[in-house]
Amino acid sequence: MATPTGAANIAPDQPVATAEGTATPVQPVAPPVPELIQLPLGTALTEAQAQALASDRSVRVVVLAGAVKCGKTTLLTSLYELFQTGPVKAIQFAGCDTFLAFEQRCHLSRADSELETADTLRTTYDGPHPEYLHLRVQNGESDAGHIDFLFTDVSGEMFEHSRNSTDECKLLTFLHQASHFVLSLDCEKALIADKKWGMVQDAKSLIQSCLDSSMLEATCFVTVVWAKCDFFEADKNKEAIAAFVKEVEEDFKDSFGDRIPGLKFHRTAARPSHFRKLKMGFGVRELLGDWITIWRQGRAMQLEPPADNNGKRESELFAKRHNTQEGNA
Amino acid sequence: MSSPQSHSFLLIGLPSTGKTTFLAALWYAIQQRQSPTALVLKKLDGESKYLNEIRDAWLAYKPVGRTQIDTEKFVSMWLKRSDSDEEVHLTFPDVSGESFKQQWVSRQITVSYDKCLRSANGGILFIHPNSITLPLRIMEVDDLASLIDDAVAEEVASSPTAAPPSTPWDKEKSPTQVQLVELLQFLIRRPHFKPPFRFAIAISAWDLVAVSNVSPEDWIAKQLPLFSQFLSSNHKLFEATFYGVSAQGGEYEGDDVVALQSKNPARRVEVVGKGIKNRHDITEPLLWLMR
Repeated sequence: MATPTGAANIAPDQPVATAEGTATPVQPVAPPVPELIQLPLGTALTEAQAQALASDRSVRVVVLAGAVKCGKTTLLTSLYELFQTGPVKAIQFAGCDTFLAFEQRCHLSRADSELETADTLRTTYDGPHPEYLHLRVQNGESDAGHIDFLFTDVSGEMFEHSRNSTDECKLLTFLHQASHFVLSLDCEKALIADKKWGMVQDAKSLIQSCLDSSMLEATCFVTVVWAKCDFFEADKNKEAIAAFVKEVEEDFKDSFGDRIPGLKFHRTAARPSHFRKLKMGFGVRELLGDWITIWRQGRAMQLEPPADNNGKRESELFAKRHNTQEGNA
Repeated sequence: MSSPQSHSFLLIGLPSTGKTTFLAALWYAIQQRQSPTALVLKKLDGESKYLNEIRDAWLAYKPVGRTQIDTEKFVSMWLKRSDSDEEVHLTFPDVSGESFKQQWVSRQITVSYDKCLRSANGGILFIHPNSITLPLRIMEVDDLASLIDDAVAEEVASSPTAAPPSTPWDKEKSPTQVQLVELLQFLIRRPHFKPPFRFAIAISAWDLVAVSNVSPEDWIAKQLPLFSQFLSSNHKLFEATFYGVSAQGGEYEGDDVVALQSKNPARRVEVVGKGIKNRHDITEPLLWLMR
């Protein structure tokens, strides 16, 4: 006899009623299941979802760029965590469409994780790229309008490949939408003699590649961030650090000053575990201030459709291609 | 005589935030005459069993019991203003706190709750001081530890022991203020949402925090700053006012219950907030919603 759907859930010794005159088991009457309405998921936004969000409002896209483990996601989560403790200067939290994404990324820095040392969930290279996290803020007085930010959450590997090839860089179409391009330099690496100049050169190569492939619009502001600056603060050799920073910043200005008029430098310690006199989100408030006050674009975000790729998203193909070649980092 | 005003108010709150206790105390308050209230019962109409049960538990200093998802009620009261003959018909969907928790976790609402949203004129959002989950960061814990003993903190920080694996992320443990903001964002996103939506923010068990001598609004700003910012920056969507409500009057254990038993039940209730005329009148937040 054929087993009706759902019969597998009935215990073997449970009596099964049968309809009179037939051999077909009658299903137990299940309690009515309430009709449900799906609510927004609150997870990170895909390109299409970001597009939908931007369809009816002006959105500022902030691209957080840099090498693997340089602190891009930590910078972003620290901004979210700052709002959890109160207004950021005069800027108030006004909404978030990606709460779950933020909460998940914050988990390893929270006591709930039961870790002894705070960490950040790694942005994986094989995931969908780019993902966007959303924050809505209000600057100042109660009648001030809201500002919607979309922050990219992209793995460092994507940027590493892009600095090596303008063709790869051109695939990062979200760069065209950036109102701010924030490139992080890792201060921890800057203290390691055989890594610091390579790190600087890699960062310069990424900017060069973005410029030469015409991916950064004239309306985009570029900020180079000395991330994890608690490592600098904790180091005893202040003079050498100051000289290194000065030299690097001058090198950036010499190299790109004419092509990036508003090039700025900044220091952050999103989670300053190596110099506890700095507070969480050190320098992040000022960055947010820049993202709010320095703004040329007034148009709604218009994400570009992916190139012909047999129905697959370009960014996924990008990751897939490199995973195949080099394994998943 | 003019037809009665009809209001439907949401009672929103995560589990164990005092929604049902509020209803129980309200049902008693509007039927007694020892302590004046701005709204009084006009007439009984239909089923009152549930309200009588929770009221009796409240009068007996017993927990009123949590509303279960499968026993959610739609409560209706025919009231009148005590200073006039104006009639008021109030309805409240008594939705369980678990249902609100599930909105955050499963990202769904029932069609029946959505119908309540559609007809609601305002709501009371309940927050209980003892059921707040804070976004506690590891760095904060370390900072607190270092205040206790620098040497111990140093030792812990430099300990070479292997780090234990992390506990998986559980979205149910997300901070209360994040979940509350999301509940309000869900409201905004419903196509029938009509701003400004009026919310009385009720901090339950106010007797627990009254000793800190802060206003309910300041308490929210300090304890739930993200939620406070959200309300402030979205004042065109949500018109909010803040109350501290002690519907139970105190703890049902130890010396507190003896003190409670010596009071007239109507005077167990305490309400604080802007514009409160009678601190024992639990109907004052409803009056504000009906303005």
